[in-house]
Amino acid sequence: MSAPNEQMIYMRFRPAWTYIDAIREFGRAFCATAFGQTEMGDRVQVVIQEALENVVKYSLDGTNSELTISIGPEPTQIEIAVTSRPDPAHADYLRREIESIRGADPEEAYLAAFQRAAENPEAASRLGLARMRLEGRVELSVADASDGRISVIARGSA
Amino acid sequence: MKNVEAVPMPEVSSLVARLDGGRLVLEGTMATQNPAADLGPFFKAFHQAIVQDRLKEIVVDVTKLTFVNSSAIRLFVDWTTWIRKEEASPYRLAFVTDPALTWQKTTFPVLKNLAPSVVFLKPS
Repeated sequence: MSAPNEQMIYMRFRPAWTYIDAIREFGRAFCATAFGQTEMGDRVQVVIQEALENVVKYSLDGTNSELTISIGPEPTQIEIAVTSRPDPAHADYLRREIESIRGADPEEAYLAAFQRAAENPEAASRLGLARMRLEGRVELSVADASDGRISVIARGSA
Repeated sequence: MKNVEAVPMPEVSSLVARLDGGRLVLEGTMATQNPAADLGPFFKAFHQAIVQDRLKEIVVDVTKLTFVNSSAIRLFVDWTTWIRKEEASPYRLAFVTDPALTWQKTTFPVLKNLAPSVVFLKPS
């Protein structure tokens, strides 16, 4: 049984672009209400947008994805987890990129991502993870599930 | 301004782009699946028109641009790169921002750090 302060939203969905706007907006509104802060909704929507874009772009065909937003047990704590089955190359990229920016100053990591993008105009943007850390004010990690899927987990506090 | 005024505005349902007194106003959201394809040609043509018109500054009002994805932010990064490579007629890119919008409060200062001689911020 959950503690009184704990709340959880769970969604399972086909990774399709058409769902992103609606899921992001729901997450933004839910968290703004739950925390009583417009800014918290803004932070969460960035995390949801960037995480779901990764899922839509890189999930293997025929697989579902899951989004979990957990609040608590402390009323200021939040965890956003997106679970999917990406192609192996992207899974490796996620692990490397998250490891490389973990512990770095979020603004400096975002600037480094901007510089990388500016120096490689034809390459993919790859700004999303650094943006999640700075704008979402979360720390990121990757967890491997037993069924071969991976979860990108963002943890932060209000 | 004649070349700038002749640039066709992009047709993306979530975004209104218009010229207002010489400033580019962007309203709505920029979070399509492929902003580089949907909006990149517009920004490139707009940049080239600014150069042809030999403008020293263009003001971009984003105060009502409520949300963008990182692929759209990349377009602003690219824009600063084009200006930095423009030797004949460089110009200033001045963003009018709304500090109450979280994405603007965090992203534009970093863009300014990327290209301090090109990007200027004007909080509304």
